[in-house]
Amino acid sequence: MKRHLWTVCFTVALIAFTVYLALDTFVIAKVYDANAVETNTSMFDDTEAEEPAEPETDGAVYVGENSYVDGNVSITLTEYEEYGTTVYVADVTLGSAEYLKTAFANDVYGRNVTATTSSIAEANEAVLAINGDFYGSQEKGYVIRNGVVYRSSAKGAEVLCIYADGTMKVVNDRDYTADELVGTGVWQAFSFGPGLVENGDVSVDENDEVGRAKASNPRTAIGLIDSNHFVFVVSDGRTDESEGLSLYELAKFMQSLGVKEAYNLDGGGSSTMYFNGEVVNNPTSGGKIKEREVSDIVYVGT
Amino acid sequence: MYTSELDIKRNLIWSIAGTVFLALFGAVYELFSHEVYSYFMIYAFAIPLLFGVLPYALLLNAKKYPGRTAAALWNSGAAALSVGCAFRGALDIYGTTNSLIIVYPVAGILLLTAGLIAGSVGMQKKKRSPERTGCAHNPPRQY
Repeated sequence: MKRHLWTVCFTVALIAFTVYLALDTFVIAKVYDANAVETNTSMFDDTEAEEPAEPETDGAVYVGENSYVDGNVSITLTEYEEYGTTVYVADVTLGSAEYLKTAFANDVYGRNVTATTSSIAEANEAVLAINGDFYGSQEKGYVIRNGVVYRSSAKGAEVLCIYADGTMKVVNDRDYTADELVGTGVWQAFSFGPGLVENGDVSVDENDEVGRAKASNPRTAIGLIDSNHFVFVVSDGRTDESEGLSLYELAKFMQSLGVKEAYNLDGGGSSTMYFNGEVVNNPTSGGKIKEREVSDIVYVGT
Repeated sequence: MYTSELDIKRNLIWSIAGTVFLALFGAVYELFSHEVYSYFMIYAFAIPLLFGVLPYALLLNAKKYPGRTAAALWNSGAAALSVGCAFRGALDIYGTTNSLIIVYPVAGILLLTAGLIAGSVGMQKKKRSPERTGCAHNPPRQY
């Protein structure tokens, strides 16, 4: 027994540490801000959009099967079939980028704090919502939401910046601090990537992938057509009906929509689009059609 | 006390088993990962291969037997690196990170180094005492 004492003790310690690490990574919730609902709209005070795109409406609210229009927001939902995959495109025109908002699961900024996209959307009275960048699964990368900096540690990656003037740009977090970005009018910032389209050109090649995922997968992306004119895009995947898209295919599709800039958000089982009170795509999780719980959403609310 | 040839063979067999297990584990994990791949998961088997099978095969061939303490420390280091490599692969495939993963390579390298030092000391003691046969079960005969 004494002969094997070290082996037994070390094996127990190794297993215990591994179990703890797994729980710490995937299960144990860590709350950094229990009421992360603060909004900083000071950047909108002096904002003038380049060419404000205002919805044509007399202020009345119209809700159709595939559309929503009110005095500040106009949304049209269209389904496409591309590369053997169903792709959902929400064409969004806003009176102000202030209506392009984000929310955390349970209004908590933290790790392993998650909820379904639809439940977060309902809680925030969203008209349209897609899953965000799942910031909670990463320890670094800028998190700027509704004008507030939640995480300012850079990870040397491409960050999507949505500005108060209704424009969008992909920058590298090595070049700017999070506070500098807010100072230049960044309203929302996401750290997943990569950028898909820059200045109208596809910026990924066929060998680029996220996390070395070379296969077709469900995807979520956001694109800018013009100032305050966005497209939210979600594709199905991992099903018999929809194979999914590679990053390159997603980028080509975004380009075909006429976007100037486009950025990839969290995909796979997280890809979910919520519109007019229901989930419109087929999110897959654990081999089944069901929503995955995510840490944050991007939504349009009034 | 010195590790016998039997102990070396036992360690070699365990190392081979660990190599095969991690190779299969990595292959099966990648099969269900929706074609998201991680070099850490795919090549985790290389750790017990390089730090287990190879050195023990060389020791067996050279008939050099390090101390049991050295073997225990060395095996622990290889185990820590192997588990850490596979766990890092799992994190990569899931698309997440955890800074505590650094514990594995730090502990692994420290234990491997301690094992090397213990083995060297053991070898030196053996050279200075040539009458010892190298096996605790066969002490020199006294007439």
